[in-house]
Amino acid sequence: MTSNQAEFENKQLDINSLPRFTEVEFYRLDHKYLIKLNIRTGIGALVILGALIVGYFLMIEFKILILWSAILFLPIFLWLFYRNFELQKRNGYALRERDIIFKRGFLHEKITIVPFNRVQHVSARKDLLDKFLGISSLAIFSAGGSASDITISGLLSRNAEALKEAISKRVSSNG
Amino acid sequence: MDSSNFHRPQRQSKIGVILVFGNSLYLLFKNLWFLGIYFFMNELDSQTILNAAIVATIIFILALAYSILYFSRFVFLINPRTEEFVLQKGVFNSQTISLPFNKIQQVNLRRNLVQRLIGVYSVLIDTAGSKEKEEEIKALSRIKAEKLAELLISYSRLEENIQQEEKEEKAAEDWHFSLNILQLLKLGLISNYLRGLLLLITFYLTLKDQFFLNKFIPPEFIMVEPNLDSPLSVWKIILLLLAIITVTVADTFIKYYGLRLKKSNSGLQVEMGLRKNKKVSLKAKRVQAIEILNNPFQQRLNLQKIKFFLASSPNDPEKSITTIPGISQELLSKILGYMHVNPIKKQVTQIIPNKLLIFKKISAGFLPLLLIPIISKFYNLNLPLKWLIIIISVYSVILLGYQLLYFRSLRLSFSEEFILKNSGVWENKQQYLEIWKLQAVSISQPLWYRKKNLVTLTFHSAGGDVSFELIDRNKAESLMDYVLYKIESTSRGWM
Repeated sequence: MTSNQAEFENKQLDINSLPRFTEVEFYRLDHKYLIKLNIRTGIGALVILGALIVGYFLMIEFKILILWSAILFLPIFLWLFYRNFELQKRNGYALRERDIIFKRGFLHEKITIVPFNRVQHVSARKDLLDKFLGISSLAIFSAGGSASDITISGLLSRNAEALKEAISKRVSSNG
Repeated sequence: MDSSNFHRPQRQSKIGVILVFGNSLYLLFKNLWFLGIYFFMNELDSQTILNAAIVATIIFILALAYSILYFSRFVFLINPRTEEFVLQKGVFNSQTISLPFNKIQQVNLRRNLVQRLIGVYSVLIDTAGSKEKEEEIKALSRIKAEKLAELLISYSRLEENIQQEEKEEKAAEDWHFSLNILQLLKLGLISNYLRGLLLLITFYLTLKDQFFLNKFIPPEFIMVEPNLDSPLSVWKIILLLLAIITVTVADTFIKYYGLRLKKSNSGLQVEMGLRKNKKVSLKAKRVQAIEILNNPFQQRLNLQKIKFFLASSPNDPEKSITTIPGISQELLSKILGYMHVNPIKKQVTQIIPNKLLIFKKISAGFLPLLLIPIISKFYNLNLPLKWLIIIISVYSVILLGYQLLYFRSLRLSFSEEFILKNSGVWENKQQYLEIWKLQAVSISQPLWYRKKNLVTLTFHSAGGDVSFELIDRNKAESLMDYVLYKIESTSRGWM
């Protein structure tokens, strides 16, 4: 600390006067994100339904077991669809001058804040469904390990690009 | 070659298609070779062979088409306006990667055998990110590769850093410390015997596997697992304990022999190890997190342990954590002083978790008990009720006591520059994080704690995460605001 002593200051900081991240308003994800999630869940449901139907007709001795598992799967998939709906409603991001805030999760809500001067790089990507729907995912990486990386999926492609530009600009000017 | 060429989207050398194609053929072969064996093993009629040939040709053509598409979609450019290197790739999933110049850690040229044959170079661009930390452009002509590397290096100002570091190397020594044999022996004797036991078991199993011990050595000489029928003699137990202690001490010697700490104005140099001599240079600037560990033995003998976490680099992850044992209190304060850690006296805040945490941990601790009925059913054990009650009550008392002590040990303290987390029942653990070096912060909250307003707060540093469970949401939020203020108001580089 010796080298810093000359310029060292120690003013008292009023914690309450700091900018509060809780005051931001979150942008919600596009409604196409809900479509994407539902398509995914739907495919999963169809696969299992198909397997059950095949099993029902081919494995006579397990008929009752299969019927029971069908009854069990029904509430699971209903729950998954409901969860998709909640995710689209709750997930969101907010940009401040110096950081990005991302909120996601329904049963387990998580908010991660990454300051722009700690961002390593930003990448926009689309999978096949995304291309079809015209949306993108934006991934923001810091050096803080995978737990601190943010992937915002369900952004309209042009928004994702604009967001990426905006973040990149701030990363270079802050870094 | 003009540098502005790179300002427009560039492709790789055309011959690079071969590389992509070769790679996809290799992947296909790797995944489908067993089909070939299938065809060899069975006698096939001409019709099947014809069909197989047609399918193979189609796959071949598809792979070629894929390679060409992949090649033509793989573009990169240097964008001087936004100060980034931009890479676009992907056939089905397109991906745009932007690497800001100032995040580039290393630029290397490399070539493997195939690349040598077709005369191209790989350019590897290394950033300190967690995932996708390395980007590779696989096929560039030498001129282009060298130009690109040179441009990236000059843009990212890597050279300045390198030169600066070289200057710092030639430095005078301030103080040093080395561990003598007696201290090392003490350290071995008080270290964790579980590790020794595990090593012994592994050693025994390897031997058994390799030499079929049972065949050559009469069974009397082989240590047998405790058998309920023949009670273990006291001697056998003592022998086993001695073996464990010897192995543990030997392990300590192998790891820490010749431990030497040298502090000069260029930083802290650490050297240790009998088999592999490990040398690490710890600069205060680069240390991301510090852990101090001591159990009552270590405390009494004044041999504490300190761990340094550097930003993990993909090149040598092993070097990112450095453990130094046998540190006296006096030396510890010297080291911490160098790392700018002032003893946290006047806490801005001190936080303990909500009491619900005890309940949460204890109920989680009871879960393994559910296994008892399953296991006893599975193995057809008929445990008498008396025994069950004794086992469960002993387990509960231990669990309860442990979790109560653990809860009491948990503390999160904040000073202006540092976060300190205390935890541990037997081994006390102090984790220091320098606030402005943190990378990100998170809070998470399960639905069922929403009413109670409790959250888990996580600090993400480049040397690992530190979490603190079940604290009041408002407190956590104002801490996050403070941490963000600290990070965002500094212009110093975190490594």
